[in-house]
Amino acid sequence: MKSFFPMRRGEGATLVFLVAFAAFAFVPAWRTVELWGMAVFGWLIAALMIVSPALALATFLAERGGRRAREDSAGDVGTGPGGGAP
Amino acid sequence: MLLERILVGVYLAACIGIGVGVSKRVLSSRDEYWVAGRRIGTVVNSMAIMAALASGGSIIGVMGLAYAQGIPATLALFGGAVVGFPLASILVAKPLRNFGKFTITDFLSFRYPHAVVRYLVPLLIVVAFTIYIVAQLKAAGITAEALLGIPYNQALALATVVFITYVSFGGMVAITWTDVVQGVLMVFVVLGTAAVLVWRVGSPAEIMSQATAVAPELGQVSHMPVSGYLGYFIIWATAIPVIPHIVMRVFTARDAESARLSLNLAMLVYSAIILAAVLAIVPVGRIDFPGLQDADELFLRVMEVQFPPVIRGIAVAAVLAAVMSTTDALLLACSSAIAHDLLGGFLQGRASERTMSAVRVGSTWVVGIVALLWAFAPPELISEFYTAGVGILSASLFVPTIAGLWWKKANLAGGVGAVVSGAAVYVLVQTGIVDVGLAPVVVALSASAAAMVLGGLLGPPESPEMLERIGALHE
Repeated sequence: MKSFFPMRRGEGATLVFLVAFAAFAFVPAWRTVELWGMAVFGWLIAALMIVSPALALATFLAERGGRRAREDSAGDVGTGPGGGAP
Repeated sequence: MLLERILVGVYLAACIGIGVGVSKRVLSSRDEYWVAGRRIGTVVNSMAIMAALASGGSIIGVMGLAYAQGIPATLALFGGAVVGFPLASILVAKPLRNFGKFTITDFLSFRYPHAVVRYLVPLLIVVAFTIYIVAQLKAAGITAEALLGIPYNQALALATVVFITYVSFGGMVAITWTDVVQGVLMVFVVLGTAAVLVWRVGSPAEIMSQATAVAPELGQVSHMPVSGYLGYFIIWATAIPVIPHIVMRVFTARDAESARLSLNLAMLVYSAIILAAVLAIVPVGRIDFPGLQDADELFLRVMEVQFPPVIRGIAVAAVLAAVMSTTDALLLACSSAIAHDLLGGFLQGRASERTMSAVRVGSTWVVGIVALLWAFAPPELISEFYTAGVGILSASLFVPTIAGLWWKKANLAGGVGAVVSGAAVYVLVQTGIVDVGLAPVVVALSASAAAMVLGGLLGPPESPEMLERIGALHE
């Protein structure tokens, strides 16, 4: 028996990416380097605040699209000519 | 100030009108009162979620914190909240919506059926959210005092009576609709103000360059130990998936898919508001007002100098909207922790629906009045204050909730240990009784996770029936 309930691959990848991005933002070097007067750390977190919702939404919409396509094709098999449950 | 007062008066009257208008339907049913009948659509729910999270802290507090502790520290705190939304959307939204109850305590006490969980969790929620509400009330008070000329204490009392009235009688239905109005108002005012300021100066990069030329500390990472920045980030990233007023909104969604999409849309709007406030309004305010005594007044000072009375009136309404949209959700969550989590099991079957309804309304008034009395002598820097309050919820609820939903070896021993050790360690480190040189939430989450793993590996395994029921929540 596996120790965890299964997670969709896209969702797992999104979580890993966001954690990795956050960890990268907290690398000590970014605290002293400045861009337009602000530490690069601040700009990276600002970027994370844009990337994070955009990526999560894209992942959700892609999975929903895939699921609906599968449901549609399953429906076609069930209702189309020559289809139907065995 | 007459025009501003009239605008705010109309707005407050509309909130009460909504609450009283829906009260007859709402007070007759537990489902209607706590989760609006579970039929809130995606767009409405996303705006309500955004408004519930975007508090007075997200307008007044975010700018005050950036002014006092620099923009990087502020982005670390609010960036954590934004990252918390994908965690909530992916890790908890679907299984919790499929669980189909009312509160986070309902899930935890189902997953870990023990009196410690049943009673400690709602008590922690009441304490943390009362702190959170006090911070919101301060934001309402200083806003009304600065821009409407109403004395702080009178403004507090007025705002408190208004939102207690519509929450206690209108429940989640009233909160949802007032939150939508409040959310739209916030988006309009914050994004509009930022756009005007950027248009006047040139670009966000230009604004930042000018502001940091006169105040270099605004862009520096030097205001606190690095662990403090990490602590801010982790508190909010781990709070969003378990914080009760957001979780209750998951339960109001039509279905699991709508709950997830609502969270995703809400965080997009929330991100835009925070970035606009921090990267446009704060730098301009820092140039115009270099020596503010109370940093939380920054936004109001900017509005006073940069905009005419009508816009200022709308801005006051927007700040009050931000305060009220969060406070009403917090109040309902607090009320649910008392009337549903603590007393519900005892009253169910013993008391009539009329008595249950009176307990729901009464608990809302009690929490609101306690917070009001505390807010008469408020703390400084509201974002820092309520973040500490939220930290105890992250520390005690995140690990048992996520493990309870996803780890098959999570069991009663691990769950109880995770809740208790997370809360206890957070209090010990936050109050300075124990000093390990790390952010309190980092230490507390580690302790909570260690308790969960030890309990899960060494304690009796979870029953197949429980695992089957949890597995069904993911389908």
